[in-house]
Amino acid sequence: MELETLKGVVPAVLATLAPNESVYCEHGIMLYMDPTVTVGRKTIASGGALSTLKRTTVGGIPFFLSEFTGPGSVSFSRDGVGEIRDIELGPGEVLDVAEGSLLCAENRIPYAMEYVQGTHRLGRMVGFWMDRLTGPGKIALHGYGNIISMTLSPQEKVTCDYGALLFKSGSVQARSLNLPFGSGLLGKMEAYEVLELIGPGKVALQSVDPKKPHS
Amino acid sequence: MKADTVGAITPAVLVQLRPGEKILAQHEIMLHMDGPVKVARKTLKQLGVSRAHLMGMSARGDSEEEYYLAEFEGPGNVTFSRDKAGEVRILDLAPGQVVRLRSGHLICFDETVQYYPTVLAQWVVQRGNDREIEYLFADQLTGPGTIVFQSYGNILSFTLSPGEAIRTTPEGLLMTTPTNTVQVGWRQNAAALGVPTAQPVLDVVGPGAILVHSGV
Repeated sequence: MELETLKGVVPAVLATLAPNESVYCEHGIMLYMDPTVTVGRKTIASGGALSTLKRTTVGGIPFFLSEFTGPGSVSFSRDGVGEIRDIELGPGEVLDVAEGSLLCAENRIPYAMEYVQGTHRLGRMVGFWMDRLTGPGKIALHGYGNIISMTLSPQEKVTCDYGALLFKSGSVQARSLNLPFGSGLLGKMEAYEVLELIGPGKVALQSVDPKKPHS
Repeated sequence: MKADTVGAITPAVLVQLRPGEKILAQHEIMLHMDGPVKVARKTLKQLGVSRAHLMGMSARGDSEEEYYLAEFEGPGNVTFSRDKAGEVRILDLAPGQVVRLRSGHLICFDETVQYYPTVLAQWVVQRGNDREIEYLFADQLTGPGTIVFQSYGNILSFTLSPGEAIRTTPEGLLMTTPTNTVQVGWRQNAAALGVPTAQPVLDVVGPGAILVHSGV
């Protein structure tokens, strides 16, 4: 599979598939495709029935993914201002991608979900899910706004906003935190909820929270 | 603080803080920060804004986020983002220099800068049988110190001579100096269904500096 970024303010990615080569993506982000490309459904099998119910009803994660099989080209777009990154995962390399940011992944890459727990307080009672992708294979991601990349050393920490995390290595731990934010009753009621990322591994952040209205 | 812009279309701001150095920022626009950076809450009362003034602003419908600000203390790096396409400006204010920035566009400022929320303009609109007052809120910032803010869309800068005027919309005005006067006028639109309509406009009269932005 060849991946080419179609650059611009709202970028897209073009995947060129050899015969019987497949990519999968979230349903509804296909921009255009050659008539020779066939479309199928890929079921997400991760964690059993109860876990699926929680993921789909609470987390809003879809039941299935779309699968496109070559020969031909297919283009995907996330309809947002930002940057696209093509990443080639090494054998056994694990990458956790923010939900709603994966453009496409080669079909040989296993797809699973990773749950990051919430703070169990009002406002961030429930955590969130990330797409867990394990190499080898190629993937394309859409970062909303600009992408800021960094590599954390073992036990090195960075604190970020929930909407800022684009992807992290599987070795990077993500932990929901309530920062101490003032004293008194108002201080106890108000929360500054953030995500603490603990190395080692790669981290990429995006400058726009896709869950907030943006231009 | 040392501030730099990161990225182009939807920029973020990277602020490097020395040990003990403090900045104030609007709540919940932090993108990421280093482990050693401490965060705390600073109420507007602590910044010298009286309770009566806050109640007055609240009665006019000022946004909730301005009851308190987040304080970040170094050493370390903090980045902020307003999640919008636009331009970031980093402005060093001289001692006593005052600017009035449209509310909702401030990113962060040195703790040496004095912050005071204010009303820049107000006008009456007729909605059916009701007459309602609309306000243009602003953050008044007094130097010395550095302030960082973001426009939505592109920024157009003007320096007005004494008596020179520029007309803009309430949505277009981003920043003005207090030496300018802001007057509300009305632009008559073409009659729709036989009913003439009018739209508020702002006439900014110099001398002073003014920034207009192209987004909403």
